[in-house]
Amino acid sequence: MTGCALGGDMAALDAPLAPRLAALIRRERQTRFSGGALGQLWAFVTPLVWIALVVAMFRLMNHTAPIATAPEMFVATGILPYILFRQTIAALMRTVIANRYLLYFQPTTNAEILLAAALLELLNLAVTATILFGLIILAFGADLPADPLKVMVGMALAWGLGAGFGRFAAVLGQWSDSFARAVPLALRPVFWVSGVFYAATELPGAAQDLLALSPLFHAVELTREGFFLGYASPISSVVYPAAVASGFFLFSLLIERHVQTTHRARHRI
Amino acid sequence: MITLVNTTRVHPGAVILAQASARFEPRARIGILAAAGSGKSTLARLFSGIDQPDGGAVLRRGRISWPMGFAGAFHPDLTAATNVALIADMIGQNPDRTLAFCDQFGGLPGGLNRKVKVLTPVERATLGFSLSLAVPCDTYIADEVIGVGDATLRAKCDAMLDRRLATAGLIFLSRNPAQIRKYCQTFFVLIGAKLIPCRDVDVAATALKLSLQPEQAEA
Repeated sequence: MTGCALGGDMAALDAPLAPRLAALIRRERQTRFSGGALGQLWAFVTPLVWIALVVAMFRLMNHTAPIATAPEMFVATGILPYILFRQTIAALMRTVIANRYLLYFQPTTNAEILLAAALLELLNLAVTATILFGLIILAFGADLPADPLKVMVGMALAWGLGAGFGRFAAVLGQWSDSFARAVPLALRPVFWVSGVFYAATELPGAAQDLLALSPLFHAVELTREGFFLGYASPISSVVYPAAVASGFFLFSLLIERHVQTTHRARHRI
Repeated sequence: MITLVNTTRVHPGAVILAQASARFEPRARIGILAAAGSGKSTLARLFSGIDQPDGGAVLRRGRISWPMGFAGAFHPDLTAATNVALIADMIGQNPDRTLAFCDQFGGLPGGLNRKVKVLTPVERATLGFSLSLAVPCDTYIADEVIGVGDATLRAKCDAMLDRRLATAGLIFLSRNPAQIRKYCQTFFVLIGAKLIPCRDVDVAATALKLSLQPEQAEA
């Protein structure tokens, strides 16, 4: 059986997409860090603490950055794409449940709620990364990025992976509570296999071949290629992470349709 | 105007509506009498465009309201004013005008600048109802709730709804025949997943009572 509903068009004409999306992003921004004393500062505190911890680990182990730069900058180029990836997934999985009642306000759709959350993560991290990279350059005398466009491509791919997989996890998580709970556990190894605190050039050939399967590793290494003049990574494909992100995105559309038509969502509206 | 064309809506384990066809004319005041647990809220969401049918079609013309008084989407950590303004933006309404209406109509003590989490349940319901009435629609959908607050506020809700219904229609789903009689002129009863037109609300009530098991009828 298939059904259709027509005539929502007039409401859609009343409310063009851009201002509606902007309202969803504003709402998401205002509620994202609400309730805590530090508020929006958490957006900076989280990556700052991560970077400080990994750099402290470097110093304790007497390890130096494998690229000729300040260790803080080397770690930041790994941590920030990773955080962008993970936070986008977490945001999408959260928003699809927490904001499901916004569907009462037609013509708002699930796709728009998810897009708003993903765009907000991108905007947040763009601001955070600019400030943190700037602070590290000023405080530790690191060089400016050699190829800013490549840095942006690397970061955008990390976000795309988060958005693609996050959308997939969010819609499947609407269906299965076990899946939703398993996602953070399943993603834990990504931190270790994506070059967050090491570079691809440090790895032996067999490890390079294996870890090249991690699409996020490519995004991290592209970011580093853009940042560090003369650094050429053996794991820096644009096509592979873009294809993985697109695959998850397309798969999420199929699952979303299935969940809707079979009324499988575990949270009723 | 809303038209159902062979519309079917199922819930896991239950059929709510089976191949129903009906036409709810513009400005008509439609009352649908239905038993508790028969799927009124699902039907209200279907009419509002929030849910989609499993079979057939729901044809809508004009702006259709969400179920009146819905207050479930207010974020507790945002103020009433911010919630209202953001929702107004989401549905293409002027946020300032919507806020002014809610402020004047609902008149929450202390205004709209308090966070939703500190509002009492009645204040939250009042805010939800004010927002529903603030948005001019061509058809209003009501799911049991068609007014809030004390007698004074309820009279105010009725007066405002009357003003809105001068140029709009109403589809009111309820299990309460007296309420349906008060607000509606055309009647249906939901029995066995079928929408059956009735001459008047007493016929609808009698048909519903006869269709129910004794314990359901008491509920």
